[in-house]
Amino acid sequence: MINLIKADFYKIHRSVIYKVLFIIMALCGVSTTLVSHFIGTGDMDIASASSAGLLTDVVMLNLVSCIVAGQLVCGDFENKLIQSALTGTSGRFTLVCSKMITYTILVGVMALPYALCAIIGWATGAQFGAPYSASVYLKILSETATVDFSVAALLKYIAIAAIMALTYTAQTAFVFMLAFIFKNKALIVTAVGFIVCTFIGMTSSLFSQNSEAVEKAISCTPFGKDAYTMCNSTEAGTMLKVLLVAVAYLAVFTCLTYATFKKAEIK
Amino acid sequence: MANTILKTENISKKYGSNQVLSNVSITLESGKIYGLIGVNGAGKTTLMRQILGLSVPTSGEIELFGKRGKAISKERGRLGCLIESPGLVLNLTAKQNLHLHRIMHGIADADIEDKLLETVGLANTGKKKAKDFSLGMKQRLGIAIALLTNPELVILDEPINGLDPIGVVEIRELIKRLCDEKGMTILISSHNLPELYQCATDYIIIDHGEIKEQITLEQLEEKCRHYLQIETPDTDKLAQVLESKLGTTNFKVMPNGSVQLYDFTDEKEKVTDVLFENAVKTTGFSLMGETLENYFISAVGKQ
Repeated sequence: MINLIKADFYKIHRSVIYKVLFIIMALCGVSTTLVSHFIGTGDMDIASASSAGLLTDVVMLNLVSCIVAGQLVCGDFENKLIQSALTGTSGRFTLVCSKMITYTILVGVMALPYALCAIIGWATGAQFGAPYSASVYLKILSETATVDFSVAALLKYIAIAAIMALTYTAQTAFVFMLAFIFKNKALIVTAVGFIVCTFIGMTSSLFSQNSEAVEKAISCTPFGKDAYTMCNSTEAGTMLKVLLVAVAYLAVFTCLTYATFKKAEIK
Repeated sequence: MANTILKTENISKKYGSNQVLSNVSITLESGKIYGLIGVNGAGKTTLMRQILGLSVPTSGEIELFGKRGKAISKERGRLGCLIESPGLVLNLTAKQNLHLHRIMHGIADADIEDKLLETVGLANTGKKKAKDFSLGMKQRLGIAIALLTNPELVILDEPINGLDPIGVVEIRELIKRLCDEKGMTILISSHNLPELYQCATDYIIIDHGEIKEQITLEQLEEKCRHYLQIETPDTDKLAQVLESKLGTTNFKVMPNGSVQLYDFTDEKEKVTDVLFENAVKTTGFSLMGETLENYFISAVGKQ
């Protein structure tokens, strides 16, 4: 499995699209941090910052994760690398697992600019507002006034940022499975995946507000409220729950992906 | 004695109502070059894909290096393949593509990349990316990738597609060399029958998903052999004249009394002159034998 992951990263290292995506994420991370700062200092009002909401991690990571799934899986179906991998000693389960690990790492890398911007911004001690409530990374920034910079707090923020990246991966794990179903149709995977993930994200928060039972059920998924409300005061138990939910969700989707791919034809 | 490395037992494959393979049973022995012959849609690629695990048979079983069931997954590491077009990342160079596959298969020997590029004639491609390669160059790189794991069985689907005449000869020689020097077994499909005839040691004829025949080169040559068929009421005299006047014993007296003469197929007049001069009565005289194409056509039952 490690060979397949290494091969994926060798290919990714030489691919332009991943570099472009990372640069876009970095620009978006910096932009939303600046917007948050200007709101905190009063140089910008929340209403005029609303359009920049499309650049937050919530939207961008959903979109970029879908693109990454399309490139990582469909791209390999397109150029027949999946075929090459399977005609070696790697079985289909190993292949699915290796792709899922690569996918998780990639989404984590894409989330990195937001996490770094938040931690750097917080470390500078500058003033920040919280214009986008769903963004955990920007919430970290808004805590600069209440949480002093310390190693313990920094480690906690790093843990929150990592768990959040894993949660984003879990939220789009469905798209990963979709990529193995649609095989070489990256565009369809990205489009359908993004629409479905956005829809689930929106409806889950809507339904949670109306019913306690639904909220409990949704809290067992990566779309639960706990994930989006993590901050420095969040208890370790809650963070662990969010982490376990994300890991379990990824494991379930890895198995579901394998089930759909187990006997699939590979052209 | 040759070892059986691959055996398929009644492999069938159905896509919906379309039966693509029907009870295909073949046996491959080590150190041979098998030519898989069939028209478009005969099931050649489908059969190869079942062997490689890229498709799962509807029924039947595959035995690979003596292993069956789930155990053959590990044995597939002993295979190399090129199915239709090679698995290439187009923005990488030939060497980078080989490097990628080397990492994927966990091969430590880095020198193998240059050796293989040399072998397939791509050593001088430098920084040229695969997207700028001709079809023939891509095929060569695909063959290099197939050989990366030093496989015991190489499965090549139409490997000479897109190659220029010199490339065809080079790949043919390479295939023969791999078989002779490294003892590799090769299963190669092609529409190009004369080309297959020059390198294969055994032939598998497939049509409409069914194996029509599996024969050796010797058997095929015997069947495609040209000869003069001479019919006479006096077979003994004919045999005597052939031996004494034409100095040949390369003929066969058939049960129906006719004689098949395997020499002088290009000197029919010389034979008729000798028979006439020696007063051998002939009631029939004709050049017989099939071409490879005709033999294939008759084997698949088409006119």
